[in-house]
Amino acid sequence: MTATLAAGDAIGNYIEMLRAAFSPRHEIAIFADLGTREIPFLPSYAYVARPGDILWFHYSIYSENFACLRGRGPDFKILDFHGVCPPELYAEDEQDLKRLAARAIEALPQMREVFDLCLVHSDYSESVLRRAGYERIVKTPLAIGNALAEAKEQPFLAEHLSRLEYLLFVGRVVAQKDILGMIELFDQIRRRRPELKLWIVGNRQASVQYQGQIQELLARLGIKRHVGFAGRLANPSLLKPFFKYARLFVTLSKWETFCVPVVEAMGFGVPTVTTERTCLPEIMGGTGLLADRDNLDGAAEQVATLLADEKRHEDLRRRCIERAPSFREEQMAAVLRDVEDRHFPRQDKP
Amino acid sequence: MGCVANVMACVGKENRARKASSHRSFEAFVGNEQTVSAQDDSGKSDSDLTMDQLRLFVSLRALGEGGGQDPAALQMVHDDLARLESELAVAGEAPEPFRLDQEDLDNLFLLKVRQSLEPEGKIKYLAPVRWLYSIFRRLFFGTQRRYNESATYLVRRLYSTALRTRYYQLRSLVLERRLKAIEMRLALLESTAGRPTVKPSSPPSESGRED
Repeated sequence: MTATLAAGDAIGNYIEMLRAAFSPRHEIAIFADLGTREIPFLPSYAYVARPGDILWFHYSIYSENFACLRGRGPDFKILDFHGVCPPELYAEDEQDLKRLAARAIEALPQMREVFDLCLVHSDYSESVLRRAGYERIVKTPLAIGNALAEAKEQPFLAEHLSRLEYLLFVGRVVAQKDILGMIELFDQIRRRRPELKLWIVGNRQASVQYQGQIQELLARLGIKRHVGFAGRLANPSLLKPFFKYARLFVTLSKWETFCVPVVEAMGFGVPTVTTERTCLPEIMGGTGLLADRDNLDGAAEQVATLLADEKRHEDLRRRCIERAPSFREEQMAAVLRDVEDRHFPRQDKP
Repeated sequence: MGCVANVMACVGKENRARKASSHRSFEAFVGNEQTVSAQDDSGKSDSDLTMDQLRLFVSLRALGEGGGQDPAALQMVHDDLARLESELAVAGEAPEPFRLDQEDLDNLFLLKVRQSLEPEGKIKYLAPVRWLYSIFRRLFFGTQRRYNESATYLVRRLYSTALRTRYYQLRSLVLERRLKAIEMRLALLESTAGRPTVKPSSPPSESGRED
C-alpha cells in the first residue's frame, strides 16, 4: 500500500519488483490513494484486514491510507520506511505537501506499536526509526531492476548524447534536490571546461515558484543554452542513453534516504558527485566524489580535475561496475526471501 | 434560478481573472526566455548545436506526452517553427501562417467555461447573492475545479497536437524542397556527364606554341 503509485518512479518500480519477488507464493493486491493508468491498483479504503494478510505499507508522506494504521488489526503490518522529507525543504508554494510531511513526521512515533516489522534501505533511515522508538528493523537494499539495462536505446538520443560531454541529474526538479546549487556548481565547472553541458531529467511540475527561480538563475548566469531539461522519462529507451553517455552523475540533494538514480548511474559505470548529506555517501560507497556544498568553487575545481584525469575517471568507473551488482533485483529478492523466512508469520497450508 | 445564474457569473469572473493572470505570467516567462536566447545567440560550437537539436527533440516529446505544460518546450518548438517558416519564405514557398495561438486557446477555454457556468447570461450582482455564492462555493468548488482542470487539459492537448502537426508539416515541406534541389542537381550532373570535360588552362610554353 502506498500513497501515490506512478510507473517509473522509485516506489513504483520497487512495488513491481516486490510483486515479482513474492508472486506466485503470495496473492498480491496493490492499494493506493492516487495512481496512474500504467499500474492497476485498488483504492486504499478498499483494504479490509483479515488474519493471514500482510500489509506492506510504504511510509513516505501522510495520506488517506493512514486510516489503515489505526490499530494492530488481525493482519501482519510491515513498515517499509522511505523517509519523510523535512517540511522546511519544500518550496513556499507546496504548502499542502509541507503540511502532509509534518503530519507524517508527527505520526511516526505514534505508529511504533502498530507495525510488526520495519524495513529500511539505508543506515540513515534506520537511525531515524531508532530515534522514533522502533526496534524490529531490517535493512534491505533497494534494487534498480533490469528494465533500464536491457532497454534498446533511442537512436537519435544515443547518437547525439554520445557526442557531448555532460553532467547528469535524474530526479524530481524540486527544492529538496537543491537544483539551484547544482546549477551554480555547473556554472563554476563550465568556466574551467567551456564545452561541458548539464542535463536535468525529471518532473518539473511540482513547484511553479521553484521553476521560476531556476529560470531566473539560468538567465542571470547566461547558461540557459548549456542546460537541458528532458522532463520525466518513464520510458527506459529514452532514459538509458542519458545515463550511458554521461561523464558524471551530480546530485547535491539536501535530503535522501536512498537515491535510486545514484545506483542507476553506477550500473552504467557513471561516477557520482554528491555531498555528505544524509545517506548519499553510504549509497555511493566510494564510487564518486564528495563535494563541499558550502565551497562551490573548490568543488568545481575537484570536478574539473576529475574530468581532466582520464585515469582516475576510469578507476571510478571500474569501481562503479564492481559495486552495482549488489543492487541487482536478484540480490534484493534473495534478501527479501530471507526476511520472509525469518520474520513473516507462519501460515498453515491447506 | 436567476440567483444561481448570478452565482455562476461570479464563478466565471473569478475564473477569467485567474486565467488572465496565468496567461500574463506565461507571456512574461516566454519574453524572458527570448531575451536570454537573443543575448547569447552568437558563437555556437558543435556541442552547442548538438545540444540545441537534443533540446528540440525532448521538447517535441514533452509536447506529445505532457500536453504542452512546459513553457520552455513550447518556446523551443515555436522558435524552430519560425526558423522553418523563414526558410520556406526565403525559398518563395511560404505556407499560410499558423493561426492557432495560446491566446485563442485561452479564449476558447474561457468561452467553454462561460457557456457551462452562465447559461442565462449575467444578472446583477446583488448583496445576498454573496452569501449564497459562499455556500455554493463550499459545496461545488471541487466539482468546478475538476471541470476546469479537465477543460484546461483538453485545450492543452489540442494546442500541443496542433503545434506538433504544424511542426512536422513544415519540416516535411522543407525536406521536400531540399529533395527537389538535390534531384535538380543530380539531373544537372547527369546531363553534363556526357559532354567532354573542359581541360584546365595550361600556361603557354616558353616557345609560345602548344606542345
